[in-house]
Amino acid sequence: MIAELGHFALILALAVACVQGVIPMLGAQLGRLSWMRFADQSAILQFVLVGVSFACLTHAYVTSDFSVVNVVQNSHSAKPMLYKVSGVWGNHEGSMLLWVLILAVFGCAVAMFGRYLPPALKARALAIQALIAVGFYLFILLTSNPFQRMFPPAADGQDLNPLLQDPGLAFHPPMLYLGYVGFSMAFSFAIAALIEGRVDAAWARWVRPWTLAAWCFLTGGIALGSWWAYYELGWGGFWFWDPVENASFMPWLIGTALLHSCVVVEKRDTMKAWTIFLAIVAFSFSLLGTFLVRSGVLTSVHAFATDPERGVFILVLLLIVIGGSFALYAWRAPQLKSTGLFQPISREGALLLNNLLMGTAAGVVLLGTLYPLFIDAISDGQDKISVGAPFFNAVFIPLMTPMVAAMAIGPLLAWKRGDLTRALKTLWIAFVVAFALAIATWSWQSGQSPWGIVGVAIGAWLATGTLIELSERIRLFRIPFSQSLRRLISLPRASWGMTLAHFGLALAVFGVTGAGAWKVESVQTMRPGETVTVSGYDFRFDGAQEKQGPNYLTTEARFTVSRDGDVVTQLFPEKRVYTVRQMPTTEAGIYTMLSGDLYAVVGDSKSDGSYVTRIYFNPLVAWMWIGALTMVMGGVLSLSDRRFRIGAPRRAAAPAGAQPAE
Amino acid sequence: MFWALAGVLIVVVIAVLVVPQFVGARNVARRAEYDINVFKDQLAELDRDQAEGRIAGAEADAARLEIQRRLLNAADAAEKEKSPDGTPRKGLAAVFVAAIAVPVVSVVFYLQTGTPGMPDFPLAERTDIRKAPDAAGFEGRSLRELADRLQERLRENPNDEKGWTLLGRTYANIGESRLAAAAYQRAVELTNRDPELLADWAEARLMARDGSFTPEIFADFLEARDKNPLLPKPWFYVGLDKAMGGDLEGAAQIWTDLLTIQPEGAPFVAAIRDQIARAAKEGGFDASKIEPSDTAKRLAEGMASAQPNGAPALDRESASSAAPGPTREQVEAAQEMTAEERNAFIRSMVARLAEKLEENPNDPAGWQRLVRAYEVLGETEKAAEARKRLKSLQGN
Repeated sequence: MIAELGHFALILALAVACVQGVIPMLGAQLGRLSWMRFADQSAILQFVLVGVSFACLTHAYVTSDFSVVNVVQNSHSAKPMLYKVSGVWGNHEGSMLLWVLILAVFGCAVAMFGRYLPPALKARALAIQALIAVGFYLFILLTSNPFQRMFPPAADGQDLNPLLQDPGLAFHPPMLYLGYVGFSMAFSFAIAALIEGRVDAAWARWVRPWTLAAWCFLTGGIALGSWWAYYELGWGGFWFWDPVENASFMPWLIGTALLHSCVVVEKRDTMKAWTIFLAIVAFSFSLLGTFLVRSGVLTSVHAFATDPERGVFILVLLLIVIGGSFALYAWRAPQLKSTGLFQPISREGALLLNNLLMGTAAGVVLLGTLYPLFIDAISDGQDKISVGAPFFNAVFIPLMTPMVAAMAIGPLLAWKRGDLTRALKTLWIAFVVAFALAIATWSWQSGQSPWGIVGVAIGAWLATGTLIELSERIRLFRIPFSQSLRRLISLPRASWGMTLAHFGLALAVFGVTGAGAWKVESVQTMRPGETVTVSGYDFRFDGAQEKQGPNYLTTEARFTVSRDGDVVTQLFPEKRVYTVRQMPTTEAGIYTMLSGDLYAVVGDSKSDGSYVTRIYFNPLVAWMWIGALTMVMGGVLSLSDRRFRIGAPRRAAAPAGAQPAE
Repeated sequence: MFWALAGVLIVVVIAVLVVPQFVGARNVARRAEYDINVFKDQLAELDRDQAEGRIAGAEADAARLEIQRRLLNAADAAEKEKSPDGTPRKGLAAVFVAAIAVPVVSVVFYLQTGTPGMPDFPLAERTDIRKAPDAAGFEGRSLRELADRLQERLRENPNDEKGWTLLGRTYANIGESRLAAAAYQRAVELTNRDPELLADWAEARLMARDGSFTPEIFADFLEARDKNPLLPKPWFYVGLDKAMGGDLEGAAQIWTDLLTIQPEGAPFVAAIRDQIARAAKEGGFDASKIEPSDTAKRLAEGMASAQPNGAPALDRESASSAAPGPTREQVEAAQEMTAEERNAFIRSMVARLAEKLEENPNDPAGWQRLVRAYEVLGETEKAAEARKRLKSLQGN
């Protein structure tokens, strides 16, 4: 009954979204406030209804209701409660429901906290958002219904994919979706602006917080995902240029570009069409990401053939959303008038450069992700090529290096017309620091890949450059220190946000460089009592024992790690076999230090009692996640800036008698 | 109940869509006025930046000029614009139509695609399946702990076939068919494919696959039956495989044979009769016309003549009571008891078995069960004593 209620609530949400897509749009066209406000009412309602629906599905999972097909396919009675709950979105149908839930959350947030938005803009944006929701509701209800029932109920479920039974992955998809779906808000505002034929200062100011929120979630989601891959896949790496990862990285690149171009629109009344374009592209990538990951299209084009109904629906939906919005863009974008002019060397110029490099990077990733699929499809599965890390590293690093270099300079340039020489002069310390570290790295690593040196140099350049920019703002050492401190405290949160985000990226660059260029790997078979030395750490294998988990059997090994005779830590890597699906997973044993991670994986046992073990030393890898966290903190701080809280203009309605009633 | 809750949702939908429309807008600011607000804020920010020295004088002046120019343009635009129409109840008819159409369309859609009136089947309230181990309450959990401890012990002593058998039974009892199958497999290997264990192993694998046969499972049942035709389990499952394959009459034939071989008093006779009757009803044939096959008759005769010798009879006894386990009612009753009551209940069952053996000590399988029961309860002394009795019996 509760499961049926969830189904019914979802259908109600679809119907509400349909009217939300029409009435507010007409209201905005006619200048009729009552119809515009209908968008608020229905957006809140949608949230309530999808919320009820999601709660009902969760209830079915928590109580192990095996009359719901989705629960049978993705849950098991012996599964720990956390994974019963996370199993709700750990599958195609449930994740789509989560998607529309988050869409409804954003819609509801705009309805409730969007008092400062011009009503017509808000009504149109919510109407567009409702139309997106209609597409998704139909997709769920017609092709991927999580509330499908079966009778008689199954005796037990088929369990969730064990790889997904992990705390990191329990929270990774919701974060990622908050990011993806957040860009739907920027998209809806962009389409609304195209319909209106105007992008004004109010537009740019109010689109930015939504984009920023989405960006924070997406950054967090990607970081969580790579962290999960790092400790769960057991290969010591954290980023594999896997299509699924790329699918989340592309919207991030474009979203970052959008975030920066919004600033230009608001401050300088220019780059409007470009910003709209980025908003459309960011959301298109989000859609692509959502569908590609879940539909299996990425792993094989032939997935379409096995499930043509879903595949065709997805293609049509993508075609309507992306094709339709670009058609609208081609028609209306020329009407968007910009007034602000700027020189190439200026803050605007630097932001534009950022946009171009980010956009190119996203294009490269898209090419590398889709090209193998096209080859596979064109040759009908005869030719398979794989585009992996070498391609991406060869293209991506040369693109990102100048971008990171420019990131330190951009904030020092003035709007309209900047002085590059002066900015570079200000950055002399950064030059020195970067150069010194590069030399030190070169002399230390002697003859390994040059990327390690480049990475350290640009990381140091960006970190120092960001700090220099901050000290310029507070006029450090040029005025008394106490005054500098006061300035530091009174800095607008938005500029704190920028500083933190840029500095976070510098930290992440160090992490990526360290783990990418100097990772030490050692694979061997070990008997209990044997010791392997990796990067100066002695890993003694103490043996392994079988244990029984709640729904898996595990082989837990123990390593005692010591350095120069002093015990540093003990690592307990596991190799688990989940009984229901008979699937093995690895759990790496990791000890994190600022200088690097000690990382041990236990593999199969041999008949003579020895085990295959893989030991890694991953230098600086923790810096990457610390950097990502810093970036998210910067985003959150910027989001709390008071500029996003200015009130709406007020004009009282004329007395009731003055205007003729209808 | 479902429609009552659905009705509540519908009322909420209509109310939220319609009611706020009766309130008029208090704020009818024009579009350009929102821009004016932003520009004013930009000016204020610029002033702050300049006051704190974050922007130089000349640059600030240029920026200020630009913002002021935009401010003027916006003010001009605001003059020309019309305020939006904030009258309440304007266009109410359309809203009403929408608010009525939403539930109507939804109900129609739902009746087409949903399963109205289908209740939930939360696992904890289901009686059609064995309880899952974590929901099995005290008994299930304590048995699991014992099984886990036993498994630890078997790792050190992996050739203890009796231990593996006990482990298999225990896991089978708490519904862990997969683990039970693994334990039985080891026992089967150690006993050179003992037919009884072979049947238990096949049964556990079948349960683990939710009752769907594979050729291997079927072959193992056949092998067990060939090796010891008096075991009831293989007969039953061979018949079940036939029934699932659609040959209901063939199934009824095999089950009839099973009844012929087994003595009248065997505990499962009623259940088999019931199965035959159901097969007959579904297949539309007369079960009473089915005669036992010659093989079955021969076996039954041979058994009757062999009975005085003891061994086959004992075999049959142990087979018919293989993994006897308490009945569902008993388990459910046990779950409602307190821990002490439950302990007492389990002990009383063991005591009853011990009593029976005192009266009729010539029953090695019974002693075997008693040994296991004492081991499970952790009463090692009594277990040792019972094992002594068993040994002396086998020595005869």
